Amino acid sequence: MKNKVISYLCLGVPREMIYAAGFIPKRLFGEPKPVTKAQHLFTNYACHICKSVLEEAVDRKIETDGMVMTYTCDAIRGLSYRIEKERLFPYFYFLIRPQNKEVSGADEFFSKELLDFKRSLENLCEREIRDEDLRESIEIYNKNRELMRKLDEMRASGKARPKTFYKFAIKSLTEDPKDVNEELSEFVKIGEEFDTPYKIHIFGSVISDTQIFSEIEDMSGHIVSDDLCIGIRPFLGKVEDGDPILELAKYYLFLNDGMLSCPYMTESNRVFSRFEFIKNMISSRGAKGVVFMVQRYCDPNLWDFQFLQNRFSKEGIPTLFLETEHKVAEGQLKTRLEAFFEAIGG
Amino acid sequence: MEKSKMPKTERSIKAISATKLVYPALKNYKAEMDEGKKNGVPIVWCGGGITGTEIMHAMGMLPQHIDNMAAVFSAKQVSLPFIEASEATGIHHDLCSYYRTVFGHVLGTGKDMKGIQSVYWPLPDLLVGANAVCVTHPIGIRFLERHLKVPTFIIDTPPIHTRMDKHRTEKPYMEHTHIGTDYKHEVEPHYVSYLVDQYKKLVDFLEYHTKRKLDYKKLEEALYLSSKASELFFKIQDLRRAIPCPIGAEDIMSLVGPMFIWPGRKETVEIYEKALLEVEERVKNKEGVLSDERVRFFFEGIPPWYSLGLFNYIEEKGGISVIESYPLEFCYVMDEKLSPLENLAYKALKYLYNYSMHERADIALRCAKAYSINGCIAWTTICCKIFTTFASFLRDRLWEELEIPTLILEAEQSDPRDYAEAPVKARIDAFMEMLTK
Repeated sequence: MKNKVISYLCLGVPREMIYAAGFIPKRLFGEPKPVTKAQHLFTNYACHICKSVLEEAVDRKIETDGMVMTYTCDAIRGLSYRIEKERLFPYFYFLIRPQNKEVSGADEFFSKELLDFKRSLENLCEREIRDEDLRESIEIYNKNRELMRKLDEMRASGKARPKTFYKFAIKSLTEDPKDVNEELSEFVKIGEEFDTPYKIHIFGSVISDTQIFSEIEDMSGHIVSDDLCIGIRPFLGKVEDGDPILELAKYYLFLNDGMLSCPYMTESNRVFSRFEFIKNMISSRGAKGVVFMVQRYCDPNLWDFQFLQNRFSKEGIPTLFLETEHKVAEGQLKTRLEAFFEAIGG
Repeated sequence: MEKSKMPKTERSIKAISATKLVYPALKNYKAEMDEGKKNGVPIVWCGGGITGTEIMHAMGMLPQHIDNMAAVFSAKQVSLPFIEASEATGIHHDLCSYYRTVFGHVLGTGKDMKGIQSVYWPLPDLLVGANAVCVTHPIGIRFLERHLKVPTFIIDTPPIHTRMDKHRTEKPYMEHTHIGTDYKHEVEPHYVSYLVDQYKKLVDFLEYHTKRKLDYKKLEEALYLSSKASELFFKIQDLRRAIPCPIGAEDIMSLVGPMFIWPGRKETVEIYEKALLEVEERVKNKEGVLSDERVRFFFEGIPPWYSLGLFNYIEEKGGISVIESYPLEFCYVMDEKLSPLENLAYKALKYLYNYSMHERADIALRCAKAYSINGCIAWTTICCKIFTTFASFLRDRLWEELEIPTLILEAEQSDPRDYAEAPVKARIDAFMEMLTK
């Protein structure tokens, strides 16, 4: 079991490399409480995740041996420079990554950036990160993806609670994957009975208040599918065999199955792929409506929303827009969800 | 259509006559675009700062930038109905107001509005986007692509990693005396080849869709003119170190337009040559915008284009913006030793906003010394993460290292609904009072 932790923001950071360096990669989601200092040190007009992570870091509440971020949006890029300036973490690395996977040579470019990241990690852990270390790490994370996809199918068919799915999703992104895999392997053998009437798909951005998944269940909602980066997205596809750096570059750019890029990616078919993915999920898993849950000021997701909402509307699929900051499941939002469930019917 | 009521905002008064050439040149260009549209000359809408417009000019195309189109609507005080039409389709209010404005235009908003025909841009045949300034631009271009259904090309410009900021530790920022973005900075070869390959693909894309062939001699000419215009613009900027400062931001924010839209056309060089002569004359005669400069400002961010008169307001109070970061971004002096596409690659990579915030702040700190600055005004442009996340960063660097105070103001670049003139002026008054006591 590894003890040292390196925190990271966003799915674009290859956790396999951090793990191969001897650290547990721990994703940060921000805390579901208001911020004050971050508004002064950063801005009010960025998502709560960025502001909250900065606030927690300034208050020295993040216990970690380092922090890794990558260029997945302009707010995160801005935050990275503030973190560097204030030296808020004992180790910090900002990973540059292409944003258009259609560009030929994007994977080669990204491989070179990953090699620099590897060198930086080697300096930190004071040893070489060998190809076999990376391959071992990739195997563990691929196993984790496989188990999570199994659990995803179980939550869709009522053999696992959605909140259990999200519990394991978050554990997979924040804890030692070997331990998570052990626990997960045991769980998928048994499962749990679950049956609530209001089947929905959730799409949107990262959510810092993960309590919402339990709240939805308490309201008799059943999240049969999602395309969230704290839901199924980290577990789609697999890193292939071959040169580990190049394969990691390909995976983190192309996701291999080519279905679900983060909305900051700029390839021509991305938003159409997202729409098709959601549509397929709805038809195969029987969702009656889609809930768009987005952090305020998450521009890439908000750009997608206009297109997706209009397409769902044309298809006669009900949508609900929920904009969140530090909390999701408070008063009005809860009421709106309940009204939505009533409208879509069980 | 019924015109939405615009909040009362102020246009600016310019100091030199060359600035007054910009708007007529823009109207002429619009007329050329209209004529071109009728005659099959490709119109290209670009978004993302550096998008290889020199290539388009060399191929006889007519590029226009999203930012400029929106800024012109805004400066003409007509952006609001465009924005409202966009939002009616489901576009969120927090998203980039440049795209909210231009999408309103795509929807056909305001075409019968009085006085708008001179800037009512013809719709494009092609779209080209880049992320040299922000992620929003290429996403916004993809958004427009879905509605306009025209061929689209996106250039992926990776930001310069801070590991290449070696000179920051090896040589303090003070050693760089030049202003502008083309100073020596290490750029690793894989960044350059990544961009050069993409520019080759851009040429292929433009040739394929327009059936026009790029003549590299013409591209060299366009790059020469682009470089020449940049040199002239930098000279004008250098002259603003004089006390009193010969021209303020109200002129520079207009003069930047030609460099943005027409790098590679002779009109830009001609306007800048005239501007330079006037500025030189003013410096020689010690003629400033203000005879008694009480505060010399560094201006950071995009101004609210619908209220450029704010610069005149600051001048009435005895303050003047003597250097601004935004207009510096579009200029790049070409290196004769490099090939045309390598030069374009470097221009994109060495774009001001493609550097780290440390570098962006360094430029302000260099300016502070070179331009005898004693205050900074930073606009936190609400819809733009590039600016809103930088304002506080710059404020702290300026204060910690030089004890120069910064006033942070909030506004939208193109959406006047998020601008509150009275509180903005009250804050400027208080800041001026503090600085002049």
